[in-house]
Amino acid sequence: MVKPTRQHTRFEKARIIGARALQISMGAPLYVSEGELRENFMEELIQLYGTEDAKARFVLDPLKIAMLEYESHRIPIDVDPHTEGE
Amino acid sequence: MVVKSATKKKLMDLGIQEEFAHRLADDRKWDDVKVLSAGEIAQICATDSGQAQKITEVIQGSTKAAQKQKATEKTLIRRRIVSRRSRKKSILPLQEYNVEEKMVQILRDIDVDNPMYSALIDAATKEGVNITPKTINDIVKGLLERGTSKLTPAQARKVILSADANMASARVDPHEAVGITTAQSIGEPGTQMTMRTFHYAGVATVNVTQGLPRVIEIVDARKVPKTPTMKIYLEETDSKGKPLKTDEKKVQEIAASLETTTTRDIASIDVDVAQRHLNLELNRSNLRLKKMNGTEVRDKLSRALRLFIQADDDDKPKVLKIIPGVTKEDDLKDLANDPPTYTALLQLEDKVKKLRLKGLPDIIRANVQGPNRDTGEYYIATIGSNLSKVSMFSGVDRARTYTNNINEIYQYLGVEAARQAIINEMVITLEEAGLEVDVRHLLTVSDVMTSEGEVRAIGRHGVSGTKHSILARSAFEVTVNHLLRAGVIGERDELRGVTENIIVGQPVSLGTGSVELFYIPEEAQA
Repeated sequence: MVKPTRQHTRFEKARIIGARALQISMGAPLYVSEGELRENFMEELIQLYGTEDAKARFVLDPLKIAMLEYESHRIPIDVDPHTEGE
Repeated sequence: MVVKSATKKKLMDLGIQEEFAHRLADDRKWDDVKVLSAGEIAQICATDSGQAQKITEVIQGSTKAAQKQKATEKTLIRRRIVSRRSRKKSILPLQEYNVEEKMVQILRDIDVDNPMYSALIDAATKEGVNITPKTINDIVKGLLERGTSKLTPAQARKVILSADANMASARVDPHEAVGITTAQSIGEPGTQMTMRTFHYAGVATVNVTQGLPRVIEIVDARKVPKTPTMKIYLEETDSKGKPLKTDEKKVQEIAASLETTTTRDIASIDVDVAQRHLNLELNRSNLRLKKMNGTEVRDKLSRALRLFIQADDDDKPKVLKIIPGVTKEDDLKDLANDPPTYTALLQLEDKVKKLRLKGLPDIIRANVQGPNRDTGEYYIATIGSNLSKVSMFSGVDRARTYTNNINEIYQYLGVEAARQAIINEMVITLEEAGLEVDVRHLLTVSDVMTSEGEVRAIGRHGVSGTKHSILARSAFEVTVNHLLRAGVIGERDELRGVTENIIVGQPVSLGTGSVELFYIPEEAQA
């Protein structure tokens, strides 16, 4: 868990999610499991791939994954460097 | 070949024989002649070396004298500059910031004794909520309006927390582009303003610029507005302790003494060309209107002109006779021998016409307004504005007296007052036009205009023209001049602003562009 030191402004939130989505789009490993993704985006997957294929595939919009990661405080990125005592 | 006549004349003035002068000046300017050596002169003039030597000495002697004269002139000028510099005013030291005194000012309009006020202050300190006394006072006022007169500590805590949450949601995010928002928020309603609004603002005979022209005037930081006006409020009692602001007659009197009265306003001026004198026929009703009398006019005129003034009646003069050059009664006898000239008479007429007999400069008209329905108070509305002089007038309440001349407020009361004046004037004009613009936009404009310690216009000569960044300035107007100058001097651009970064092709320092990201390593993750 990576809790932000304070609540982010809307600019900071957008910047963090954007940076993370870029990483995901280029194939970075996810901080959320496949199960979690299916749970959150079931309807979306069905819409994209049909009822049958949705059980096997979970390719999604990287922005949506990044947002999910952000909401659950799993992105190890912050606007504050968190360097204590230095 | 041409003989330079000016050079020849100069040579002859120095005492050189005409024959030699003629030869020397042949196709030569003075500058060419004075550098000739003795040998060359001998050749040109076809004389012996002794004669030539004399001529060179004469020529060089004259140039040296001229140089000497020039040198003394220079030192004189330099000395004058030095003496002018020494007379320069020294800069006043900064005033110390007195916190206690400031606190008294802040708490002046606040009802500190109200139990709700103290309860809310206690709750705020307990909760660690940062909230200004004025805001708390506003909350108290609101509560009183709703019929509440007491708060339990729990209620006070709730009120404070709710106020804090409201303030937090109203606060603008850091890196938000407030300037752009302001420009749009003023610009859009501005398009709905009528271009030219002629409007008599409720008050008779006082016509104030309104609408878009007035907004432009404020934003341009003009030195004098098109229609300067003042509202002069008076003190409760006069120096003798008698009521002043509710007494129409006394207010009328003050208005009369504020208003500029020239000779022309109270008398008809006749120039008697044949007799070489001026005849002033005083207008009784105008005199009464201005609260003056004949003797007063006579005294003032004679003091201002330094002339003896004849009157038809010493106690109640109606016709005044002014003769140029007559400073005392005895001068009248000599008049026949030495009559004044025609030009002197015309000059005198000009002077008399423009002479201010009563009132303050720039106050063109002063009208009494009122009375106020609740307080029975009268105030004076003026055309023309002169804040510093009016403020010194006895009986005037300086705290409430108002002018729409922002530059005057800046000169007399300082930048902070000017900042508030800009806000007030904008709010008034926008409200008059029926437009709703949030004050915070106007605050932004006013802050930008005054943040450098003086009132700057928004535009070429002010804010945009004095930006620090070269690229930002050159993006605005006269691109090449700015770039060239900066290149010659070798200026630096820190690329802090928006414009510079757009030119360079970087993300701008606004919103998302100003956020810097850091990776949080696993050890640091909670």
